[in-house]
Amino acid sequence: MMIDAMISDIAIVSIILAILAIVLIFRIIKGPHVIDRVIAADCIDVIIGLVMVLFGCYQQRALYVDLGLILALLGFIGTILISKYLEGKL
Amino acid sequence: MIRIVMDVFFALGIFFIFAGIVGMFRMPDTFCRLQSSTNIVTMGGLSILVGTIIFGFYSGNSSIAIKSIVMGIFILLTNPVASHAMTRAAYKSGANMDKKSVCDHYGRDKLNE
Repeated sequence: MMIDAMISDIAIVSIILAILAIVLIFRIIKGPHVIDRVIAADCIDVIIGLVMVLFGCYQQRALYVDLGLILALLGFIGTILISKYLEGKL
Repeated sequence: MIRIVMDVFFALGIFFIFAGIVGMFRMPDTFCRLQSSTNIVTMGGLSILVGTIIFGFYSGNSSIAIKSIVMGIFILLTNPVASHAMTRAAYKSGANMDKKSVCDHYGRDKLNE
């Protein structure tokens, strides 16, 4: 009933978010500086984590929410590592 | 009723993510693009996670909701750190500012040091 309608809304939202994440790949290809590519990769990472959370709601299963949390954590570590390397402190 | 509340939070999140992506394509400078990236992650991500928390508590599957709360707190803690590190790296590795930029307070502070 109500939960089925909410699940269909969640599917539409996750499809829109995936399309927006695909649009961001153009900034990775084009970006004039290295940091532009790092920014776009970080944003794509967080958006894919959100899509994982929404997919966990779609399947009614909490396993995929854990996958989204791990994805956000690894993206944060990668961003910090690349930034410290470019800064010259590594 | 609860569906309308959840859809409002999802629409807010999609609006902020769309605005951030338009900013990522239209801004003239690396530092301005960093500002848009913070907009994407904080506002869009937290709004969508609030909608997910409402769905998790309503559908009786509360482990989804609690894990979403943990993920929201994690994003809220780590995103400013990552953004600050990226801004410092962009300044130290010599990213070009826009020609119409007026002031450079960070460079002025380093010069008087």
